[in-house]
Amino acid sequence: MNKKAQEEIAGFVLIVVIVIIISIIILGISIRQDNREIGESRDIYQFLESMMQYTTDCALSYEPAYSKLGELIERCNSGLSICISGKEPCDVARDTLTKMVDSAFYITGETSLKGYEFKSIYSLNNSQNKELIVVSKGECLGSTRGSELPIHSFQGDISNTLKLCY
Amino acid sequence: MMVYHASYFKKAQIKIQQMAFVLVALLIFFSIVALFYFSIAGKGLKESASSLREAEAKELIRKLASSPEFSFTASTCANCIDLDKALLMKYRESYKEFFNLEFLQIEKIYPDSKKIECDKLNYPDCTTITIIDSNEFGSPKEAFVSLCRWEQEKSGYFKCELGRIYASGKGID
Repeated sequence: MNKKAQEEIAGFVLIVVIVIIISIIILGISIRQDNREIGESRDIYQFLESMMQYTTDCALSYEPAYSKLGELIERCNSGLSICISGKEPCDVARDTLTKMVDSAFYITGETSLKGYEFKSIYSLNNSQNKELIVVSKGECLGSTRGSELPIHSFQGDISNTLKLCY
Repeated sequence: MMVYHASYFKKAQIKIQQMAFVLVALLIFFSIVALFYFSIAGKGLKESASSLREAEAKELIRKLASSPEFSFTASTCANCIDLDKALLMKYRESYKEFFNLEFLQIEKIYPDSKKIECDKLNYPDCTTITIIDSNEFGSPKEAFVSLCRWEQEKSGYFKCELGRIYASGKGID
């Protein structure tokens, strides 16, 4: 009788332990998925749209026909043009967008924002990918929020993505 | 014979009790797990609802930017605000009631400069244009926009900068 009761208690404890372990695993997976989730942000999309309209200080044909940032990224892909000031369109685009992201999103130890990643990638018929501009700052380990703005370019598309890291 | 019956029933009762205790314990355990799960899921749902409301407000502000009163028509740009028009609107009293808003402000955020309210004398060397500013208004919603204007330098050209539009009031909430 005593032995049988012990067996039953052991069986019950075993079932409870198995259920707890399974629950912890399921909970852990769901929490991890939440943290790594890349939230699509309308705010960042609006930022990318506005950023592409910015008038840079690079004129490709004559002054004052200054190019927009979006046009410079396209020129950066072709690699054929150069600014009248002698600067490379890629360098001007990289410098300008770095300053713009820094002005719009403050990355300090006091804010929840830990860093950002900006990428302009040219793809030809979704097959060949070429990184045009890559800019990052801070660390990107936790959850992220971002958006993508595609620009149609010669024979392909340029995907501009900005990811904010928290 | 009677003694045997009593022992048999007692044993069965204990077994039923054991079973009932186990079932109750399991029920309590699963209830706690379910409560925990639903509280987390509910929190996520609330967050997504508030972010949807936020996104909707941002879209409304952007719609405001593309209205004929603000839109920059020199190039095809949905999110561009004509800063020259916005400055003129600041001095038109009739527009204070037109948008059904309690607060409406446009701010230049890049290129960086010291925050200065624009007027007819310092424009365009300034950062903010406050079109509507009633005494009491809620927390303003914001959206990124392009601020475009006619630049007089080097025989003149259209220049677009990065900015934000802030709005608060019945037209947005």
